Amino acid sequence: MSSITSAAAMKLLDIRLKHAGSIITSAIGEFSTSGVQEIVCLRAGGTIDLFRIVITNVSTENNDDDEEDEEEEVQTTLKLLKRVETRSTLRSLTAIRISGSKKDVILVGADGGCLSLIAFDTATPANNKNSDASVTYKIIHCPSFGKSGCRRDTPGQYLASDPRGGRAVMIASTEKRKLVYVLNRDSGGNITIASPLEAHRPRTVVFDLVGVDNGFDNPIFASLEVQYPEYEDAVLAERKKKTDEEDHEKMEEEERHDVELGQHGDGYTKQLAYYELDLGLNHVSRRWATSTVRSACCLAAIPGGLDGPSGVLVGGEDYIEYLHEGMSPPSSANGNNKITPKRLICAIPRRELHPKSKGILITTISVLRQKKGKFFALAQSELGDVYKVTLQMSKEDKTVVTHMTICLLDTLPIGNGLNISKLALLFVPAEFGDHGLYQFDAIDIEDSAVKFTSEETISAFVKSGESSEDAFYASSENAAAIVPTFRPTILRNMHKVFTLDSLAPVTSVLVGELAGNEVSPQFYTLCGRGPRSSLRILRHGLSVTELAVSELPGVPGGVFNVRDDRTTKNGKFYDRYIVVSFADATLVLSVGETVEEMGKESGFLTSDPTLACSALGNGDKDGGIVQVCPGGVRHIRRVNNQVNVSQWSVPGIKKIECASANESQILIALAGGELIYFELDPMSGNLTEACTRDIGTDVCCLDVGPVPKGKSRSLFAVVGSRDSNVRLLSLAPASLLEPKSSTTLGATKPYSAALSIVDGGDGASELTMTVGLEDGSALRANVDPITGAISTSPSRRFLGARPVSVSRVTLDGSPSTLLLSSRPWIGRNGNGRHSMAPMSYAPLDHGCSFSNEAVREGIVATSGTTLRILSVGENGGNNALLGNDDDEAFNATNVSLRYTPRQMCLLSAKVGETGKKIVLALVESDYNDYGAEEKKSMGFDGTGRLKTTSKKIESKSNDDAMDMDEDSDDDANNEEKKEEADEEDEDDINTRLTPIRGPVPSGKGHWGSCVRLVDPQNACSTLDCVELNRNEAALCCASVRFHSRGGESLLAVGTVTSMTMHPLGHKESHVVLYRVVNGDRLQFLHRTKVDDGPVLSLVHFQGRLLVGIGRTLRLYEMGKRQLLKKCELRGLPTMVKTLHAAGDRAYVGDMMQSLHFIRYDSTANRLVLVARDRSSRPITCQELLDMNTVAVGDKFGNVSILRLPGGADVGAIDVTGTRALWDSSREDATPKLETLCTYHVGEVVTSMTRASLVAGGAESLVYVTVTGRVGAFVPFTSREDVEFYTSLEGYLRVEAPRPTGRDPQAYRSYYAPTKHIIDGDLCDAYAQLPYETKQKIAEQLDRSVGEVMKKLEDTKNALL
Amino acid sequence: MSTPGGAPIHKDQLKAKYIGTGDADMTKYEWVTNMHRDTMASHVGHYDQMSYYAVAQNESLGRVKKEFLEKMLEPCGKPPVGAKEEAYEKILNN
Repeated sequence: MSSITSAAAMKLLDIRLKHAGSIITSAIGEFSTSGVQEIVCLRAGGTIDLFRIVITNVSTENNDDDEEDEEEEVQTTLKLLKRVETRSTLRSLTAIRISGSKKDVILVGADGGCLSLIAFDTATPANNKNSDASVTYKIIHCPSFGKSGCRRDTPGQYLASDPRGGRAVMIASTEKRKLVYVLNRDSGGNITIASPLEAHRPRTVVFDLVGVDNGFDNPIFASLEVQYPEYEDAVLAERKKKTDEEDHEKMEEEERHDVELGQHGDGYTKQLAYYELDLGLNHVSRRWATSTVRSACCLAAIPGGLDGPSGVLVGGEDYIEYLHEGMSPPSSANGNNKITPKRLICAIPRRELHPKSKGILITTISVLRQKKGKFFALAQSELGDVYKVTLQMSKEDKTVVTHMTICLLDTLPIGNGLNISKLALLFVPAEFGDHGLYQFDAIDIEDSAVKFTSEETISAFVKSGESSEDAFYASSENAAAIVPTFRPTILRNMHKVFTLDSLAPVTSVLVGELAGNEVSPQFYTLCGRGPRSSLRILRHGLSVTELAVSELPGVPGGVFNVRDDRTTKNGKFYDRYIVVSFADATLVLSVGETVEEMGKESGFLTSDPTLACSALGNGDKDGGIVQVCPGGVRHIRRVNNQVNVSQWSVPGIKKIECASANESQILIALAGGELIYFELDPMSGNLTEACTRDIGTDVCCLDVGPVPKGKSRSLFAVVGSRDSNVRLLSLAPASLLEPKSSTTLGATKPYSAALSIVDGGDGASELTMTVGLEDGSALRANVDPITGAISTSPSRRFLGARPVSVSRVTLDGSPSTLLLSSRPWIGRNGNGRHSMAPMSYAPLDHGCSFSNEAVREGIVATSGTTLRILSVGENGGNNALLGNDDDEAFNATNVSLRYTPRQMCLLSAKVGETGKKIVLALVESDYNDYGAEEKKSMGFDGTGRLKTTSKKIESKSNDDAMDMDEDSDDDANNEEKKEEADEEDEDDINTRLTPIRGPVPSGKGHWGSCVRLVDPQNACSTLDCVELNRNEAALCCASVRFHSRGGESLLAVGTVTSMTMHPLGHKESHVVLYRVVNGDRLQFLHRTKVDDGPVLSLVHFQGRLLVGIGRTLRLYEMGKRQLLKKCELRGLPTMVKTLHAAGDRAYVGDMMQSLHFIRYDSTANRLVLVARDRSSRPITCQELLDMNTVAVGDKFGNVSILRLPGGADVGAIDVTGTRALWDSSREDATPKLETLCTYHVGEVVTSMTRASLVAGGAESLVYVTVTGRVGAFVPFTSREDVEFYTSLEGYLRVEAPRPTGRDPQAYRSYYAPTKHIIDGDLCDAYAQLPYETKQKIAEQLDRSVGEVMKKLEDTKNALL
Repeated sequence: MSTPGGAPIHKDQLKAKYIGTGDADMTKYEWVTNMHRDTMASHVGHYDQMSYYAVAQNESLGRVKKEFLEKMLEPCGKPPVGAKEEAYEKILNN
């Protein structure tokens, strides 16, 4: 990085490595295809993802045909169909089906000040039946209504649509403004949108908004809102109160102060208001409003019209209430005439260990409409418990709700919504951690589950004698006294079927090759929160499942597969033989239920090596097998169970050097450069020698290419020769072996070659040539399918230290290439782009594709003397799930942690006398949680697997099974079977494990925390874990080597005891020192109490420890009993959040007031402020780029790079020593830092680190965000690149689509104008543009479209 | 200030239309309250910031969002009505 900081201006390119995992909100509907349920997710980081629930039947049939032992296994996955980049802050989403349409469209509220209406569509590609239909999106309307930004009075925070007719949509801001847009269709069937109607209400804060299902009456929107008084009125009211109090001896004053804001009695009323859109008058009015529970925070609409009673469910603390205009009060349980309960309300069952004084907030409610007017709602609490809410209607009038029942369903991760599918699936986008798709096993659980009803609630109120309903329902104690309790367990009524990966929240990142035996560095990320905390080790590359490994008698020289023509299943061919070639022998393995060695009966010549072999014929006829040995070409046919071999021998003493074969063509090369071409005669089934040609130079490699579908031959062959040329020869009958084009490779020689047919950008197939070179790189070029011309801009990429061997494989149904060097790689095409990803596996020598019934898309490869069968992806090769097309592929290893991880550091520990070992120390802490021992003593079990007191679910009859779909009855059956059969089945338990949040302490300032030592060389297994007790929380850690103590690496941990958040306070704080004994154990050394504030950062500084304590920076020396204070600097603005040290400088990030450069003057033993920042940035993380330059991230999602101006340092050092300490920090005298770069990432950056992502590669600045994005700022290395990217970004700012109406430049300049950082995401949008636009931009850049694409690809390739 | 048509807009009208509009006579409390409401609304609108607070406080996002919205009602407590404020008002009125 020093090279680029020395340039005049630092220019960086922001590249996304992993997309943000968090889902802001989601909606389920039929978006791209009518009749297929899909899920649209708004992701943090500004993308809209469309997922389809794909259910595939995986039949695992035993090969023996006699046994009818077929196991039908259903696999449910979410498949990403479309990703829309919006480059804006997304906020709200609703799906709407406009009358007369068969599909839903989505409405998105973002920060662009626009309401965008987006439709998805399926486009069937014209000439490619093989691949799935691609999904496109279209921005139908994007009317602008206000200023951009997430402002208080710009609508966009809430969106609600008319659920029945799709006639209107309301978009609301947090305060005051609400707009209603009327949607319609014109005669052409196009959706029209009218100008907005206003429904503003001043000084009104909206909590939630929902469209009431009102049948086909005028559309109504329900809003949960509170109005605050005008300033003048508030002052008057206060005055009046004050005078009253003076009269009443301050009695009421005390009373009033007990009520916290947001509680009942704070002087505000929360209202549920109906806003009616009068379609006739084209006018919106506030039709009806009623007060509701003060703590209410979410709404859900109940089906109306003919299907139900209409109205809304209001979720609040401890209660769910049903409200509707004109509803009749519930019948009182006992005849106390004094009190007439008006509310239809039901308390929720509580957790056993939840304190009685604390309410449980319902945060999301979602309603599923079933068939025949049936419906139910699911509500989730802030603890993650999911309740099923059912309403009972009066027998006489189906529109009158009489009772409500709430029963506990299961405990799931806390979600940002509950998407219930008609296929009895539930998608929960978790607020933190992985998202889950769950399958219901049972839903009619009223009889067996923990439940509570509205009658019981109401009768409790009546019995209590309380006069006010509001007051009764406001108290959590009252609720706790009446409801049943439960203990959270593993999932009882559903099980997890699919996990959608999310890193959120990432708190820290570290990049390095710590595992000790891998080629490229790993990313160590601290992820998750509370019970879902984990340390995840990310490796660039595709994950590989090893299916079989077997030893071979020697080191093979090649491996081939032979397709089986006898058994075709679903039109797919499986492999019959695996042929392994050795230096002087060939091993033939037959593929069946097991892989067995074949002898002579196969017809193969086993005493010679094999150069190529293939099954011949196009599948419908057994054409036999061809085997090419150095001595000749053998055609093995099976006639009446007799092996019949016809052989063509090489004339003279020449030998075949290399050969290639496909289903009908064989090309061999003899020493000296003589090529001989054979073709299968389709009539006679014999091989005929068709042509001979001498190319005059020895051939290194050749490939005849695959036979295109529906054709009888491949039209081209690629031949690489020892004179460093690669030639493309024609195989067309009229011009056999005529050279078509060639390319020269310069100094290196070709090693292997492959032609492949890949899916092009717009559904067309393209012919691509891949050549593996001896210098360890691979060359890829497109070939014109008519003329055979090799494209002028082939791309070349270095893959490893060994010559690259190339072969064709199939992945995810699409043709790919396998490239083997010192690392195995996979090259794929998708979305019009080619991408290469390494496989996370040991180096392989030879490989080819492999397919049988169990492994549809596998790879058979050799490594040393072993033969391995692998599959890419995690699902055993069936339906391999690869990284999303526009993301870099990463695979993660998870290590579960106890609490939310906060920081980590590397320690070099002594092992034995001389040995050293790198260990990773992490600190974990959770606010509002008990320590592990306390939890245990309370009887809390985090896994939920303890035997519970609650009743086990009984199997029920199927009569009233969930009426979602036909499948549901089967589910109930399965459920029964499961209960009987595999109660102890570990697999089953694994799909039922669920994170359970620990009991919430009733008081403030409770913490659970631990310090952990893990071994990165041993899959990050925990070496030692020290639990901190007595509410002590470890918040930061650092490795420190005290020079006075011989430089042993010690672990310093900063802790705070009983810290509270609101208001910020703590009892005491400490710095604790640990020694790592023997590389596997933490030994407590001592604990030093520090005053002045919490310790949030520590750093090793010149053989001492520099600690940020509140507003003070202090330097400590190691002592025997405790740390010794050496020097301090007081009076930093707010709180020291981050610290770095280099030389005699310390870099201090303040929680509010940005960065300070501090210098330690060793002669005078004092810390001097050198420079500070002009702007006040609330720093979240920082990373040192060089002595004068620091990159900082702030709480608003910006990254800035700050530099000390030249010469500023000199002034700070006072040689005379007469100047007072405070002189240097005088406002006017302190030099200011220059801002080199500014960029709005859009998500809070929580950690940054400088690292090279490939061994020996250039360094880049890697960052992670709270929402799970991993990105990198890459310095430009040439002026040419800077100019190219600057102009490309400039054009794309204009040309790139704006789905939410947000200007990309304005978004990247959210808080400060973007400076010197180029938006790589925006540049990548180039690939998605229509061809004409691409062409236009490329022309302006003086390049061809291919060159622009190649440049984009090369930049990414250079990074990883 | 005037409308596009040229008719003058009264200060009170402006204040009613554009929330947060300040004037010379604004009290400190009013100004600070306004700032805080803007801040809260911005936090609620940015999912990433909400996540950041939710992790720190170990609360669910729903709870954090609700607390922010509730805080918008009275971000700085009740308006101060001591003798100082009364004296200030007197000066303004004169």
